[in-house]
Amino acid sequence: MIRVEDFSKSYGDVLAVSGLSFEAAPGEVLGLVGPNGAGKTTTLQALCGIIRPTKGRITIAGHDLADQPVAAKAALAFIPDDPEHFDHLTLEEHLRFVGRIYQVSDTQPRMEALLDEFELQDHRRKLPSELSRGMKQKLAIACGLLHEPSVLLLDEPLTGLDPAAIRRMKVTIQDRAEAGTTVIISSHLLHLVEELCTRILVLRNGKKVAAGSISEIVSHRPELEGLGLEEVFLALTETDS
Amino acid sequence: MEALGHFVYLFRMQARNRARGFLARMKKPQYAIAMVLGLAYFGMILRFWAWSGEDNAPGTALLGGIALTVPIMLAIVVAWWWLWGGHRFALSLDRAEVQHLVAGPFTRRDLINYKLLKAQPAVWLTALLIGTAMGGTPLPWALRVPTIWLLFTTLHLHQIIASLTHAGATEKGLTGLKRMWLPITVFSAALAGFVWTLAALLRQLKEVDSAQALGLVFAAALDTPVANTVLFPFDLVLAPTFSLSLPQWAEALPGAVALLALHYVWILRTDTAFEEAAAEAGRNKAGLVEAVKDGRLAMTGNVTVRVGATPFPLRPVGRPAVALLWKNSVSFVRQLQSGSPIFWPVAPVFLYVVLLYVSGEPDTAATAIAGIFLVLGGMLTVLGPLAIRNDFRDDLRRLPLLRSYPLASRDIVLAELASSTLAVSLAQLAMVGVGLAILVVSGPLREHLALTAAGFAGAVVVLPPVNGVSLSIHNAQALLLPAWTPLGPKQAGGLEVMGQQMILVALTGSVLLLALLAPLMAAATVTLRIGLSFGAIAIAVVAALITLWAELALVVTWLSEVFDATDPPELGAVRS
Repeated sequence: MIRVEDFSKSYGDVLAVSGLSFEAAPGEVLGLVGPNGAGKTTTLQALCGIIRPTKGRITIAGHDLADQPVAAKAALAFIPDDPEHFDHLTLEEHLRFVGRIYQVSDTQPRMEALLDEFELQDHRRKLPSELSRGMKQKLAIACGLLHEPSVLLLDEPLTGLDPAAIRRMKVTIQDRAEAGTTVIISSHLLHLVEELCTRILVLRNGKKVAAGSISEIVSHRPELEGLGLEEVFLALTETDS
Repeated sequence: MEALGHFVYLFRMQARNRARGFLARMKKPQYAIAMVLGLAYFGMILRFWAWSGEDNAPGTALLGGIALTVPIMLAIVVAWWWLWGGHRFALSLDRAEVQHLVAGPFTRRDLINYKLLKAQPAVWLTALLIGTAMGGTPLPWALRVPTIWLLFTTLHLHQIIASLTHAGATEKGLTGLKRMWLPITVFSAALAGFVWTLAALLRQLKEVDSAQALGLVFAAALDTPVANTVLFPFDLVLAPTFSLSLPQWAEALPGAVALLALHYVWILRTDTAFEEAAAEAGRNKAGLVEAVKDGRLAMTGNVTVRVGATPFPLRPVGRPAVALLWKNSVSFVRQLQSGSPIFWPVAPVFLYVVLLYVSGEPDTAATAIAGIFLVLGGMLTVLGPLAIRNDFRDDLRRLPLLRSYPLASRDIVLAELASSTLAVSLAQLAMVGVGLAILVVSGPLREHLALTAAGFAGAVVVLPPVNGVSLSIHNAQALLLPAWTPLGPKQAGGLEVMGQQMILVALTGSVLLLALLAPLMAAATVTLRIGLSFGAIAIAVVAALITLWAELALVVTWLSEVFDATDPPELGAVRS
C-alpha cells in the first residue's frame, strides 16, 4: 500500500514535482507516465527514500517514510532504469549482500530460484563489469525481488532486456501483483503500461494531469473517446489542461 | 588533409569547451583559491628542481652523470613494454571515438594520426615542464623543450608499437608470433644482450667502495660491444637531450629525428589490428572481459580484478549494516589483489637479499628491514587514510542505492567508517607486527619479549580509534565538500586539484591534531594527578582511549545527521 499526500520536491528554484497526491492499493499495478522531465523519476526516488520531499507525506505499507524510514524501506524494492552495482562483488555476492541487508533468512533457496528465473546461473561468479546491460538489469531485478517486497517500484523495467526476459518480467510483475504486491511502473512504453497497469497516473511538468483507468480518464474527457492510450497520452501531455 | 581538418575542429571545440568550463569554475572562490595554491606549489617545485645560476658547471656535471644511467633505465622500461605490453590500449579509442570516428569515413592512417595528434598536448606539456626544470644545462630553453618533445614522442610511438606487437603476439597465439617474427627476434636478441650487460654490471658492483668507483664500473660495463649494440638506439634518441654543447646537439639531432621518422613509418605499417584495439576499448566492460578468457579474471577500466575468496563469510541474518562492512572489505581486498599481490611478499625478501649482499651482516640487514616496516607502519597513520578509500569516498558514487537500503543513517556511517578504519589499522598492525617480529628474531628485542608484546598490544588498542578519528575527518570532507572530493578509487589530477588537496590536507591535519588534543590532555591530567608509574601510565592510556572513543561517537552522530540531510542531487549522483 502506498499513500502520497501533497508531495512536492524542488531543486533550488526548480520545482520538479508539485502537490502530488495518490494511492496505490495492494495488488494494484499503477503506471506512472509522462513526457521527459515530468517528475516520474523524482516521484519514484522520493517513494523509496532516496530524496527527501520538500513538502508532503509518503506512507509505505503503513509506515511513514519520514518517521519510520527503515521499516518503510524494508517493505519496498526500487529497480532503477540504470542500475548501479558494486564493482567488486560478484552477481551471487550481490544477492547475499542484499539478503543480509533485508534480513532474508532463507537467502540461498530464494537466490537459486531467482538465478534460475532470470537465467543468471551461468553468470553467478561474474563481476558487474563482466555483465551485459541486460544482465545488469536482471541482477537489479533479482536483488529487488529477493526479499519479496510488498511494494515494488520499477523505473523503465524493461530497458536492456531481451524479448524472452521481457516476457518473463511481465509475468513476474503480474504474479507479484496477484500475490498482493503494490507495483508502480514508470515507463515510456505505453503498450507495456496498457498491458500491465490497472490504473495510470499521468504527470506533466511535475503535476498530476490525470489518474485512473483509461476508461475513467476518457470518461472525464469525452473528446478522447475511442482513442488508444498513445493518443490519450499525447492529448493529455501536449495540450494545456 | 580533409580528415586533419575534422580532427583539428574536434580538438579546437573540445579545448574551447574545456576552457569555458575551467573559467566558469574559476569564478567560484573555492576553485580559484585552489588553483592559485596549486600553481604556487607547482612553481615552487619547478624552481626547486631547476638548476639555476649563471655557471652551467653543476648542471653539466649532473647531466653527464644522468646521461650515463638513463640509457640503461630506458632499456629496462622498454623491455617492460615489450614483455608485458606497456599501456595495452595506448592506441585505442574511447567509445565516443569508436562511434564517431571508426564508424566515420576515415582511413586507418587517419585514425592513427588522430591518436598521435591527440597525445601531443600532453607530450608538449611534459616537454615544457622537464625542459624548464632542466635550467642550467648547456642547451638554451628554446632548443631544450623541442628536443625533449622529440625524445618523448619517439618513446610514445615505441610504446604503442610494443603494445600492439605484444597484443598481436599474445592474443593470436602461433599465428601472431609468426606474423611478428621480426620485431620479436630483434627484441629477444636485444633482451639477451641487455641481460648480459646487466649481469656483468652486477658482478662488478661487489668491488665498488665509492661513488667514483661506481661511476667507473658503470662506464666500463656500458663500454662493451654487446652493451654498445643493445644501447645504440637508446643512445641515439637520448643524445640530443644530453648534449653538452650546441655543436654536439646539432650532430646528434639528425639521428634522433631519423629514429622518430622510422617509428612513424613503423607504426603506420604495423598490421596488428589497430581497429581491434580501438574496438576493444570502445566495447563495454563485459565485452572486454570476455576477451580475457579466464573466467576468474575481469577488467575494470585498465585494472585486472581477481575474484578470490571474501575476507569473512556473510551470514544471511544479523546486524544488517555488517553487510556494508563486508562489501567494503571485499572491495578493499580485491583491489589489493588486482595490483601486484606477489609484490608484497617478494619486495621485502628482495630488499633483504640486496642489503645482505651489501652489508654482509644478516642481523644488520634484518634490522634495516624491520626499521623499514616500522617506519612504513607509522607513515600509514597519515598516508593510510589518503590511500585506502573503501568508505563514503567510494560509496557516495552510489548514494541513491545506499539511501534506498532499510538502514538507519547511523548504521551506514558506522559501517562506512569501520570499513576503512579496519583496513588501515590491519595494514598498520601487520607492518608493526612484522617489524617487531623481525627485531625479536634477529636480536635487538630478543631480551625484551614482554616489552615488545606490550608495545604491540598498545598499538592494537590505540591505532584503531586514532585511525577512526582521522578517517571520520576524511569522510566528513566527502559529505560536506563533495565538489572537492574525488569519489571512487581513483584520485583526480591537475593543478586545481593539487591546490584543493593542499588545503584539505592542511585542514584535515589541523582537525586531527585538535581531535587528538583532548585525549592527550586527558592522559596528561591523569599522569599529573597520579604520578609517573607503570599503573599511572596504564590509567592515562585508558583515559585517552575513552576520550578518543567518545569523540568518535560524537562525530558518528554528527555525520549521521549530515548524511541524512544530503540529497543525491547535491552530489550530482542522480538526474532529477
